[in-house]
Amino acid sequence: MNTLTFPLSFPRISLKISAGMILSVGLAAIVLMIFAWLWQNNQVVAQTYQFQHLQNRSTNLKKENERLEINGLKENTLFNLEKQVQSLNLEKVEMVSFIQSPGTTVVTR
Amino acid sequence: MKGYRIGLILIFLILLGTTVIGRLFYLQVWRGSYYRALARGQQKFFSASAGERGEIFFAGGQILATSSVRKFIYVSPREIKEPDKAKKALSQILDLDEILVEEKLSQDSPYEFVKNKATEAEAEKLQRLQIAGIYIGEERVRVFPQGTMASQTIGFVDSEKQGQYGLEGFYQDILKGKEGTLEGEKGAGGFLISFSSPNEMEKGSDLILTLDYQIQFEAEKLLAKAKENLEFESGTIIAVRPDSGEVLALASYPNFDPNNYGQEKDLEIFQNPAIQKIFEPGSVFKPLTMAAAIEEGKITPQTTYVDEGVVRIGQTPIYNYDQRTWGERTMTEVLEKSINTGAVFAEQQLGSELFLRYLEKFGFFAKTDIELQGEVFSQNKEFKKGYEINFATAAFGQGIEITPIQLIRAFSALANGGKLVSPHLVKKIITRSDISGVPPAIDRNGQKISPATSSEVTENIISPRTSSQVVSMMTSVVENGFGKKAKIPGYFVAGKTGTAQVSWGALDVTKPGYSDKTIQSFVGFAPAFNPKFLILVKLDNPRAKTAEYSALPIFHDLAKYIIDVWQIPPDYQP
Repeated sequence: MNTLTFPLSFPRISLKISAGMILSVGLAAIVLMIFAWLWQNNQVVAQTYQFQHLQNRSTNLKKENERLEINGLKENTLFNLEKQVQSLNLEKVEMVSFIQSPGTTVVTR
Repeated sequence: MKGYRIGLILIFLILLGTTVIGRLFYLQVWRGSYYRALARGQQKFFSASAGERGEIFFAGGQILATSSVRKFIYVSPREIKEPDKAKKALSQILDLDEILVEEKLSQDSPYEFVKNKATEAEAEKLQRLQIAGIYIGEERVRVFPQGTMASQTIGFVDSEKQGQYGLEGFYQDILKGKEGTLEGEKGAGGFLISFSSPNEMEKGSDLILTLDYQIQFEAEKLLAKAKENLEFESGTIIAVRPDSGEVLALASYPNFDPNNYGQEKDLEIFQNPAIQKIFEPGSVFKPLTMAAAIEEGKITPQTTYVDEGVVRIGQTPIYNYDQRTWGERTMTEVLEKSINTGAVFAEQQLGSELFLRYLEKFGFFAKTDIELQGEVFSQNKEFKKGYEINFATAAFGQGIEITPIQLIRAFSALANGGKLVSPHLVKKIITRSDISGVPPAIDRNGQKISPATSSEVTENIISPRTSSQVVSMMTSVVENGFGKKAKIPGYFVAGKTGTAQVSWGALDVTKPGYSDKTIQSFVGFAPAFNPKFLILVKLDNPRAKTAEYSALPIFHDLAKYIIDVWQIPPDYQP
């Protein structure tokens, strides 16, 4: 069992290996943490962009929907409908004369 | 030696670790709350936001007023690096005068407004150009999808979000909504990432009107058509349910587009003539004189008198229309032929004091309290002075000043069996709590009520018997008198024409007497003995001799339209 007694007695072999390892692991951990931090930051920024983009799209779609609804309302007003009906050149029922049938009874031969 | 160096590195690492941990402890634990608050301040932001304005609907659910987002263009002259490019883009895309744009761009200010109501296409074109210093803003604005329809009734909303005139003005507090705080959150780099639901912010209440979309449309269409033929100065049509006072249509001509109210030069156009214009009604007033005299037992529809063509009150002679003499006539015939001296006879039988009391009962000296901003009424101080001549002329509607809505209220009482109703435009106010489940129940004044009491019918001012007798007399006007053009086969229609001269005073001319201008009107209802609707048509100075040729045909067309649309069963087989 390796025991680290500090500060004066360093067991020669075990100390050599342990200190090197600690140093390497420490540095590796720092590098790893830097990478992890960079990756995480990158992720947050990317996700924020995506979120903002989606939110903008959603807002724009809502506005577009509202605009279309209002346009629909304006188009469907009685005033516009009547203008469109007028362009169809329809005749009022009372203006139409029907062919009179000669009699009320029908005789078959 | 090597071991010693490693020892030193180890000590260095331990010291470094201790420093980092110590610093972290200081930042996160010791000063943790301070930095947390600082971070929150950077990440979150708050802004005050007005609640969305409530919507206004016709009785059938069609939208009369709503809100929408509108784009506007502004520039920050200090940020503009390419003024020529900016000037060209703004003037070409927005179709603006180059000099005006140049003037805006040359200002030493951070904000210069360029164009209101920019279209989607204009905003998109400018956005694509990405010119520094040109910005596209957005604001919520009031939209009236029906354009000019019912414009004087609804009013408009100004740039300060204040309702002006009509319902928008009257119900400003109820429609405007509640202000609240909008909470937003910023992500890395200061980007806005979310909005939380605003605290306390609430959309304003919605109004459901009594106005019928189709009847309103038809009334306005008839007025516009009549304007072409009769060239009147202004016109008003009011249609109500006489039993409840629900207003079905309130149309005026000329009108305006509340979406572009700023384009109107004459502010008078914003006034609603139905509630804000006082006039002398003329002969349409005669049935009210008759009703008062019959109610007091002074006359009956069969009472006769002899018309000599003139009646003198002191030194002042009162003539019939066209100075005709009618001889012996019944009171029913007085209405049929619209004989002025006959109305004076009825008033004289009644007496001035009682006549005045009935005018008060019919509501001519008070507002109707309809839910529209700026209702006026005449105190009729001159009339109330007590001169006999004033009462005599008032018997046939001259010398007394009223508003069209007051006339509608009085005639509703004649038509519905004698009950004085309150004309009203709002059927229901839907608050936000109604939507979340609480039963809808607040009246037009914002007070909680049960729906059953909303029609506000008050006491009888004449008896059902008198009402029925006057209705018969008015039916006779349409069947046998000057109102024949109002006849609709299969239905009994009651009505009365009126052609009143306009006094010089009403035209702001300081001169006694009357001008050549006339106000021609017709009040009628159908089916006469179980009326479903009552209509007043009033035209100011039309190119026609009498109301028989101006207001009456409009009444006929609108009444026929309502009968057809509502499929009212006929009174008899035509």
